[in-house]
Amino acid sequence: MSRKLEMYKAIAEGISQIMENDGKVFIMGEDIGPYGGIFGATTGLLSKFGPERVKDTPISESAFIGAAVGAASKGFKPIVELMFVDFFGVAMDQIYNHIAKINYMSNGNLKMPITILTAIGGNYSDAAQHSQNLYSLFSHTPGLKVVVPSNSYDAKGLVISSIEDDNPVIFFFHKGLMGLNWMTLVEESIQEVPESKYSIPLGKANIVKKGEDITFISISRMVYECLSAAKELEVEGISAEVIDLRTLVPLDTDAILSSVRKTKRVIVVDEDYQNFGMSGEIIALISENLGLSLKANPKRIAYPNTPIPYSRVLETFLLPNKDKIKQTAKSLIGG
Amino acid sequence: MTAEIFGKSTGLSNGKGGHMHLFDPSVNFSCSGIVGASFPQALGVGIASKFENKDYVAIAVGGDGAANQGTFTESLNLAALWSLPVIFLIENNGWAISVAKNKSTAGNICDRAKAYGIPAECIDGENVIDVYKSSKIAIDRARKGFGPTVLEIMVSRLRGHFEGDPQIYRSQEDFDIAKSKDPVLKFESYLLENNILNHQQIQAISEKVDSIINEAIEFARKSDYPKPSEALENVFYGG
Repeated sequence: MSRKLEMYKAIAEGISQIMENDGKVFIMGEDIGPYGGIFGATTGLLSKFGPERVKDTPISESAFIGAAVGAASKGFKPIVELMFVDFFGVAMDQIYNHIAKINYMSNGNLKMPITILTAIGGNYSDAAQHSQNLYSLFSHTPGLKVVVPSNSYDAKGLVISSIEDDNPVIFFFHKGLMGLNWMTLVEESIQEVPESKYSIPLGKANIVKKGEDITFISISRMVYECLSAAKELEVEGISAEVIDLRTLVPLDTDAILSSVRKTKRVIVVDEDYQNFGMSGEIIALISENLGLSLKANPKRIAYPNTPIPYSRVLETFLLPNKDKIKQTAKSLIGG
Repeated sequence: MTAEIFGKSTGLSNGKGGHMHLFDPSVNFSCSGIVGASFPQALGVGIASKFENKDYVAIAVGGDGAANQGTFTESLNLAALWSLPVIFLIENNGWAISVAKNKSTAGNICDRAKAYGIPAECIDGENVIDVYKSSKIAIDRARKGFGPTVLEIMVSRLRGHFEGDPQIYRSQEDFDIAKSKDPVLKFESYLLENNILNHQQIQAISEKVDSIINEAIEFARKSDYPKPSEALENVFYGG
């Protein structure tokens, strides 16, 4: 059976189905109990599994994320939620010095099967400390897997794979895709979600639209801006392929290269900061492998290296969008 | 462990961890190069112990310098709140690298524990038996489900922060006092004075310890280095 389900419910359902089968999985975080997570990702878990396995924590991120390390060292599979990615600074030591490195530093003798859930994304006037994406920051750190779903079907399958993985995974959900009635919404992110447990492998991109003339590579909310641009370009006789990477680590390099090998033109669209990030990494990959065979220079449309402003007109000006993608695509094909 | 410190393939982690990052899951030991990182991690072991309904206890070791990290107070709060079987063992040697405790630390570390309702004891680290007795009380409390304890052990720093530390920040007098407080030598005197061991027995123990250490160093020296390309392995589990 399957039914349309919002992303926040799909994530909670995935976590719940794992917790039913695996007593080693438990979850800790701020406001994840009766509230069900500020963005709903733990809805219903407390009443189902009780306060021992669904632990509301004090605002002590180093303490509870560090606690995940200790529990993992004793064979547990902790999930922790840290509300907004913007807040990670207070607990970074436990994440990038311990969770990411202990498997390596112990030569594989001490694995860290920890899943960290967090919210990303702007476009709703929450400004510089509540709107960032930052997934590239964590993709830069060796030892962390990075998952960034764009819709509810993927979110459930990917959260299940993330928790089942023997490695640390940071699972980034975009606030604007969660399907919350008090937040901006992208209707297409609410998809048919099977009731049964299923998984989507990490490192497998999704080609959401086939095309011949140009490839748009993106992740999370920007996938929809790419799709809207592709639909409008179709009317103008330009056929764009749209790739949703789903995960940055592992990165599906085969999907990227085989698409660009075919279209010979590429735009990477990224809501995270442009400098030293996802867009640069993917364009480097393409340039190193296909550079001289391309018909046009690869382009990127990312968030400029600017803190995120509050006023809607300012933020909208900086965000990548459908029109910027269309314009850039036309310049690549026309030129 | 010695082979790991030598960076050899026979070390605990094939030379990937080294002297600051030793992991031996077979004896539940791990360490970190980051000051104060152990406190939160011990909470997780305490959570696991409660989940499993077992009586193992987590011991987080840090210095007086580490007690000024936010992780210490965050962890005290959580350990008390969830009544976790965790012992915070603070080795107070009066120095955080080159900064003396009176220039870095306000109040008493034990008093911080009391603010969270955690029993705390300040123990003279020169006396091995006192340390043993207090540790036993703390471990028994934790095992019985009464939650965490802070043990602040007052010790003298016998060597530099690292081998090669010129220690220009310490007076000769401070060194001399520290040497007179060596707990191993003091315990040796105690054993002799109370006729528990005689000189020959102490000599025999000392020789045995030397031979264990020499054997470990010999083993480490003779071991091979890892293959350079193994540097790329184990970034991820199973990879």
